Amino acid sequence: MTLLHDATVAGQPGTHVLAIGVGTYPHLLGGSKKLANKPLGLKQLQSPPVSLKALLDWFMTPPAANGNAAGSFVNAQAPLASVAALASSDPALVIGAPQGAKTLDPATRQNIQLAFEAWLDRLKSHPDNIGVFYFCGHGLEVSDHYLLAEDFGQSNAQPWTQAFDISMTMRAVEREVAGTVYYFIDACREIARDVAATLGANPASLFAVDLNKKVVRKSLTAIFATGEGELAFAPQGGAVSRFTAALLCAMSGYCGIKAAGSATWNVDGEGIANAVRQLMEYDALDMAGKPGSGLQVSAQSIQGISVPLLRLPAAPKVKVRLDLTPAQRRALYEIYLLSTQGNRVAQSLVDQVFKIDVPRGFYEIGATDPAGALPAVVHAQEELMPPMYSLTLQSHP
Amino acid sequence: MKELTVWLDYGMADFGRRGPASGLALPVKALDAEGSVLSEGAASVDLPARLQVPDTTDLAFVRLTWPSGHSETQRVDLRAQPKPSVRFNDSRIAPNEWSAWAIPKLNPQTPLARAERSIDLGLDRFDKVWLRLWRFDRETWKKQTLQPEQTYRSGAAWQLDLRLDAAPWLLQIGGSLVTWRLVSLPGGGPARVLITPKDSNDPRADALKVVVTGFRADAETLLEFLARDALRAVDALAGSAALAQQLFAEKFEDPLSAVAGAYYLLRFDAWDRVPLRWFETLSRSFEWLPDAALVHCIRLLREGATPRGTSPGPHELFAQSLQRGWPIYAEGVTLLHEAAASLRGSFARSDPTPFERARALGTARAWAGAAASFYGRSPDEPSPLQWVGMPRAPRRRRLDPALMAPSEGRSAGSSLAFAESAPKRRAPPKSPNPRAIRVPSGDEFLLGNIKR
Repeated sequence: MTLLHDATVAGQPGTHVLAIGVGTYPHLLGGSKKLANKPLGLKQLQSPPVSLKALLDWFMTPPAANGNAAGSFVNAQAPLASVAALASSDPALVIGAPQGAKTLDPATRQNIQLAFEAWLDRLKSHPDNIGVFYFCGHGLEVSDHYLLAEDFGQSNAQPWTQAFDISMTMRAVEREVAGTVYYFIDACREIARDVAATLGANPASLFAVDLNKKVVRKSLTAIFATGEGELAFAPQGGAVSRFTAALLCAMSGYCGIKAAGSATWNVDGEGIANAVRQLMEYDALDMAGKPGSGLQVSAQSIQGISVPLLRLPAAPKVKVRLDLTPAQRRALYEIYLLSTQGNRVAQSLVDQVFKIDVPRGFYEIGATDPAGALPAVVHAQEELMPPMYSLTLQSHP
Repeated sequence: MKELTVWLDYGMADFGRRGPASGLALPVKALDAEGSVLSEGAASVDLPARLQVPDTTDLAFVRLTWPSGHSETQRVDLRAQPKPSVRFNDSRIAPNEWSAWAIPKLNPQTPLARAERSIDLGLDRFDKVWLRLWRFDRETWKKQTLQPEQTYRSGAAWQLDLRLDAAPWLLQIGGSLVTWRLVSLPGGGPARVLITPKDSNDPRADALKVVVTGFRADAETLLEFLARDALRAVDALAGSAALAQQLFAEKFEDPLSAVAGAYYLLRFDAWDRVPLRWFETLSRSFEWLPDAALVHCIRLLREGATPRGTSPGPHELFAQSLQRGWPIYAEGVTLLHEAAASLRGSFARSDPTPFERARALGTARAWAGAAASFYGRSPDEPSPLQWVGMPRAPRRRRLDPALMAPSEGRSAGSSLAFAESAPKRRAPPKSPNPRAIRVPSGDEFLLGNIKR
């Protein structure tokens, strides 16, 4: 395990991150070592190391350096206490850390086990700790979710010993940790469920469930990327995966609720899950017709009371997408948004979809013809809720 | 503080007639211009929400949310009215009164929500879609004659009204273009089923959407939100813990609503707010209800070490739940899987069958909102394998591409075991299962039987 950041303060709650990205699988197709007897059609992956780095950079960039609190981890009640990571990539992944650049240890099954146990120990240190577990790599889903470590396929006699059951792991952790845990699992299913069900997969969890212990966790959020097929993973060419991109965007000020009496805009599991789902739909809209496009979906499981992962000082933003039909009239209109506070933004006489980010709130949205020849289109009161808002204005003859 | 009253004039969506439980309730929030929450609660057709907002609030926005995620917002100038109030009504939705109840549960883009009488989704193409009704009796699923009390049809949906006794029931649906699927129906009274073509771009969506009600508006709304992990909305429903406890307390009047209350308490880790004996009484008194044994089982599992002599314990309750049939509600499928996974070690030593049955259900899971649903050829065999066709001529809906195209994996010796044999090459979708016997399908209930 590579510990990139350790600011744990004894007796005080904090947020502890364990992030794993597995791109190279030496025993799978295209790997550098002996091919497994049953590689299940699985190949090397380009996205996980890139996605992992993006996530680590996001967590470890302080708001002051970023110049934008919404683009960084902010939680005054559980500040960032530790970040640990494992990565399987070729070349090895190097991450800039406060103490200098560090090369991440590979995500073998044993390394994952050790890293997980260390992370769990840190989580147990205070009842108000928050844990973040992130995985990007191969996985399959039967009724539970199984994730594959770098050395999956190393043993043909016991093929599933280099994988682990993350669903059972979650069930175990909720009896060990009194705090809150967030799981972000970016493991698209390249093996369809009906096929996966026939494989006899039975990997162990990272921690055994102790049924003699009471469930003590405050809150659990698990969000899964659930696209099928390799193309659902990421845009081609080794980019950040769609799911991870949506996750980072959601956490960068595109979700949050300010409850009555709260001083901050709080980002919790429900908010993140909704935002991720909608952002991926939005992404599909923009990618329509392009190579590698296709609707990517996510799934979630949320239990317990709401405990925010982020507590942001400013209202979240909304990605607005305004179109006008018929398309031949677009360049004849000024499309605008007018907030209840009187702030107005507009796109004038341009033949393209109007895309802009605005703070959440209530707006008048409309289109006017500066020449006065065409009818105005007005939606007097629209609530723009994060992460996105899409409307097609209709100019009738 | 100022008081803002929110009325819910949802006559049609409240089934048009009253069911056995309280009327429909939906969560409402008062927001400021920035979208911060000033106050939240629930408005029902019986009782308005009374939201308290700060005295300094001049302008507020009141948002009502449906289980589907659709929301409607109204602006309120609190200076202009001595007793500010807002009314939400359903007059603009569903020209067909009989389908209005389902709209809050459907995708926000559903054509049914449009106030147009001329919607035509081409339902004729589904005329050969068949329905079968199953009832669980003495540990066996038995096919029943489907005889609706009333049926409805428009250009956008079909609807059936049924009356079901106290037992687990399943409605099975299938067709040439419709994957075989089973949807749980609430027994112990009237039940209503609405079927409409899919209304979303979600690649997981089935060709036909099935929405179910047992006329338990408050309990079902809570479960619909739970099914979508909309926990803030659940919490806002009249201080849901209080509602949940109330539902649970009235278990002898309506055990299905009691189960809904228990599901809420388990999801929010509030299960210790009610005495354990309530769970015990529920599972003991309603032996026909799988969910009753299941919530009791989970309650014990969540608590940890079960005191010696506690009977029945989690293992027995888990087995009891399976002996009573499949859970009525989707939340139950999740918890059944949790119980199976948690108790797996002990089952492996004795008889793994209960674990494997529960696991099969979890793997075969489908979506029908709050109602439990799964894929499979029969109620006894939940399976992720997707089948289409007439009941006596089923065929696989699709074959995994990895099996059909030559690939490095295949040439390198990969092999994937199958429970059912797969053809060696791509087969046209209409290829029949060679082992099936073709018989006329005249004895099946077809959607085409339902006339406008």
